[in-house]
Amino acid sequence: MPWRQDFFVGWAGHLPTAQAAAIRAVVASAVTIFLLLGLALARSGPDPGGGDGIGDEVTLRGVLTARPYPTLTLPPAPGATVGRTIMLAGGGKTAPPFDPALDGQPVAATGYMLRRGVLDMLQVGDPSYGASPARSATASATPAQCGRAPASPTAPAPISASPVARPPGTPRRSAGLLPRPQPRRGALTGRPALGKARALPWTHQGPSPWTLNI
Amino acid sequence: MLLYLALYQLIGARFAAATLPVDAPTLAMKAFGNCTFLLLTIVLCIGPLARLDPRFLPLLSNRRHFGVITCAVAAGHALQVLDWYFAFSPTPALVALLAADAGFGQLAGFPFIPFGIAAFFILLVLAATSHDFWLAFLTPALWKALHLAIYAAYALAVLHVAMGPLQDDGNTLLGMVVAASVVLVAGLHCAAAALQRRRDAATAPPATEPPWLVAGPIAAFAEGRGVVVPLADAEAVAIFRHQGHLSAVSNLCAHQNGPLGEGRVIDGCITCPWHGFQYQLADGCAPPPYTEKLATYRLRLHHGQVLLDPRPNPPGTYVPPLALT
Repeated sequence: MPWRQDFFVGWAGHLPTAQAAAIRAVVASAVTIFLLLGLALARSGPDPGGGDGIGDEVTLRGVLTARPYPTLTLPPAPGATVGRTIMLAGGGKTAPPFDPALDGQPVAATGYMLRRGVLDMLQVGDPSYGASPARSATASATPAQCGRAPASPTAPAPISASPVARPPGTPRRSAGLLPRPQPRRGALTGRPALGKARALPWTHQGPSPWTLNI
Repeated sequence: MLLYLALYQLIGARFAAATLPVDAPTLAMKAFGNCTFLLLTIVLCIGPLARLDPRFLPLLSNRRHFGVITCAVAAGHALQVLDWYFAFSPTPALVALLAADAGFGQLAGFPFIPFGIAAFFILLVLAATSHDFWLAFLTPALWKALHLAIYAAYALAVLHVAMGPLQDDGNTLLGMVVAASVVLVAGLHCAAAALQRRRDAATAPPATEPPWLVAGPIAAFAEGRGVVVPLADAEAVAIFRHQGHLSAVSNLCAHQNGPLGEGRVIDGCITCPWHGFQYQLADGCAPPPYTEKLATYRLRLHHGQVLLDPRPNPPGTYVPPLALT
């Protein structure tokens, strides 16, 4: 059948000899370019940075609430009955790892203050990214003093002293982002004594010169 | 496509100059997004390529499948975005997605998410209506018009990338890829349109007896092939020669308006070069059990010239093939 030499019909299940070479060359080239572009685009992605230079490191002391996502309830300001709630974020956009036994306990957390819309967060170091090991810390705040409120996604009042910064690797316009809770078993085990602040795994060694007084 | 996603996430990202490794969901999000844009570019290039060179016609018959795959990859991108950014949002994810960026009053930093949503919505509609059921239900003309929305989706995707990742990341290579894509798609379409314009510019000269037009000398009609006769104010006519006889039908395939005149006569039937739809020469009807019909035209011979009556008969009208001897 002469038409089979140079005319393609899908249902014929036959690629004409006159077209086969050209089609194979074009498809092979297109696939190669497609894949090479993928590799090049992946390689050319911007460096999200190492988290440096996004503000001053601060240490907050308060009561940890583990569920539904980690928050730190700070002692109430003078005249207030309920402390402010700070969400805790780890590296990237995951929640920081911690020992679930610390839920409801006073802790000290060191990191960088972030703001997402009206939400204040403390981005703490992620051990998987090489953060410093834990150290013990003492805080005067107790759950009762903090007037611990149920964990709520409602927006806390802004902290005036906190620097506004953008975490590394996050888009600049994504209001309403919340950290994904991925609690992992931390290095610390055992329930701490009530009234004693336990340093979370992501606190830094040594006294922090940038403790935020709230 | 799967290889692209794997290469992007597993190999390409390893060589990125990043201080810290980019998290897997973000990588997946970018991989799916880039893949969607590149696939969309490929899909849009197939049509004009097939018009410019018939050797690309085999790609055309699979264009719809490419389009559905593109939509699936776009869905992967959308799901990654929703899951990563809004899974634990206090507001519903879709509401949060639309409300996340409301800076419509500025050009730099103009919200890019709505462009992506609109493009994905169009792709979704086109993929959902890609089946031949919808082609028959909507009629080819409406279906074709609907699926031209792929160009709107492409424009929205370009805006989505230009207003979003290009501004956020400042990725030079991505910018070059987007620019090259736009130039390629626009260039191929302009070239194909210019070629079609040249073909359409020639109209059949009138014969001495109106309304007959001169379609050409007998020698111009090769066995088993078609000749397209452009008309001044109507659709072109395709005239086919088969076993010493000539038959004329509309040049537009009833399936997707493919150029029938560029087809062949196979098994005694006119065969469309796009998807292989077939029609009988004498009456323009698809062989049973198919029901598509084409308009037919009258032909006659005059001093070695083939004359065409440009007034179409109702689709499926029997016209005796013109014997050349």
